[in-house]
Amino acid sequence: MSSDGILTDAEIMLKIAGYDSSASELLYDRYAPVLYALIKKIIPNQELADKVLSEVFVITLKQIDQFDFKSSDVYTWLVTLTRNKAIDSMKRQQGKEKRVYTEEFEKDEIIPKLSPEIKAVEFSDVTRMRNNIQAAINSLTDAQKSLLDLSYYEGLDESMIAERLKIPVSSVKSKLRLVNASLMKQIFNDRI
Amino acid sequence: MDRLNKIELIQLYTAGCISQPDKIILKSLMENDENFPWAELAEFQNLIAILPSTINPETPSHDIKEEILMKMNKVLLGEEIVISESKVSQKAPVMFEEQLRNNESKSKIDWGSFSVVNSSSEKSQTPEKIEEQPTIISDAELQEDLSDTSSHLVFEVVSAPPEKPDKAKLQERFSALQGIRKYALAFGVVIVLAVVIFSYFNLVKTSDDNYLQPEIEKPVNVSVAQEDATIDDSVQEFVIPENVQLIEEEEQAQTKEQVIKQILPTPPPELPMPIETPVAEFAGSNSVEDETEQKDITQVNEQSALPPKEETEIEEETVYFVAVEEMPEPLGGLKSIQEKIVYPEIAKRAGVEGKVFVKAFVDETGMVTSAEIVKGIGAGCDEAAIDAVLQTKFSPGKQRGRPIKVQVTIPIVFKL
Repeated sequence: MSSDGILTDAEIMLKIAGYDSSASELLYDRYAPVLYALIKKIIPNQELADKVLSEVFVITLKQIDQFDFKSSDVYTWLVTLTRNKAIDSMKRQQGKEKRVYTEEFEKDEIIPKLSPEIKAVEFSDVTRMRNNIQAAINSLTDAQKSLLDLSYYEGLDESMIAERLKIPVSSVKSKLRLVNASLMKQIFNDRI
Repeated sequence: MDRLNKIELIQLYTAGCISQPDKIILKSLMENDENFPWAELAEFQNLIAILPSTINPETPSHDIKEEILMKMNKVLLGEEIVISESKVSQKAPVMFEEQLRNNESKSKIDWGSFSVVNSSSEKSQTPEKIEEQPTIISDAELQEDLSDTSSHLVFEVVSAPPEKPDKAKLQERFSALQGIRKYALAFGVVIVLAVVIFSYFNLVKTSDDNYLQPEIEKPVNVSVAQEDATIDDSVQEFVIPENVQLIEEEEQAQTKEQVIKQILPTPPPELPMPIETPVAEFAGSNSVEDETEQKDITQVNEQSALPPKEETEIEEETVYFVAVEEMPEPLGGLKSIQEKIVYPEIAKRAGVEGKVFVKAFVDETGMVTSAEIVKGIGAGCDEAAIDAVLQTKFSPGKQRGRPIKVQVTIPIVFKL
């Protein structure tokens, strides 16, 4: 039954929720390369990156009840979860995260809380849009790109970014608004 | 706070650079603000999540994959405690041993707490199972598998110290698995009893009613005492509501006499002689308890003459496996079940949505013989889900190419 390669992300998640172990392999095969690349961008250390990847999949299975099957946005959920987990692991390694990692912490800080109105992004759609997304990112200025990197891949908060870029905190906010507006226009206008 | 401020917070949040105080404000807005801009949150969450797709994908090494899949399987086993009865001879034992070695607290909790169910169900089910033995276990192969399973179960239970369980999760798991564990254990006990019975049958020809008791009572009672001693209080409280019968059993376990009453009424009518005879062997060793037992024997024997209460259960006693080589699949996929859902009017009006887990018992022909709710959301959705599952035809589950009865848990999504 694992031969079916055309299951949608949501169908795979449904099967996993039904404790179907072959579905967890499907999910792994589909998402591991993307998530692994994301983790390695955040965490250069190979060993820790491997560990985080496995933790992401374990959390996915353990916390499948937290996944919103109504919107079933597997892509956004997994990527956000992976990013949160990787940033957290990196901060812990650097001694910057002092809070104890409990199940509650995991629920609050690691498991994504997606908007109930979110539209499911399908893995295949994102693959198709990849060049488009890359072009949108390329069109950003260097300052805008580094703002995005510092925030998303390095996990700095607004005041740390302001310090690093030597700009006021309010500029961080306005720059971020510009970045989002620009990306939104180029990526989603084309999709619709 | 005006809308623009909220959206600003959302942008900081989704980009991952929101400060901790702002994050708390945003979370409270999400919970309390009726006009929270959910659509914007959705857009930015989607946007940010697709950006990493531009990083060159990197396939992890084969070793990592193996390791992760193994861990995922463990989670599935740990969560569902799928004691793969039918896979025992192939895969399951290895997995269990690994779990032990790893000493994961999660699995400890599961195993430890399940010992409660095991011991309780052993108490209540053992005698009834004896009756079923001739009808169910006709296949030697099956017998082997089952005895294997039971020995593994015992192993796990003994070696895993109980810890404080997460009640909510346990409740789900209990309800999902109780049935299976009962069957597995009961069959193990049945087989052991059968062997004992028949081996002594030839040795001891005389049947003395008075000696009937110690044999049956001894093994069951001892295990009960051991298990109970180790059971965390919270677990006990927890198990009790699961099964009315269990409540009775637990209470009665307090006094030996009562236990005896429970156990003795049920020696199988079909095999009166064998059961009575072997008992003689054990009688001597049990002298401490003899007095109380003697008193009860008369009561017990009276009771055993009565029509057995387990009549209704006999029909349900067919074994439905949990994990087999080829699991049943709904013809037409999960979607076909989803399509059969009739969203209850009440649930629609009340805006009830969510996931219902239905356990379906699929027979060798792929028909769903019965279905029950593992986790429901109410408002008529549970019934609708059961109806949909009952109408669904499955491809039968197979073990070694042979169609077999299997139970599967099916998630059904109710979404307005």
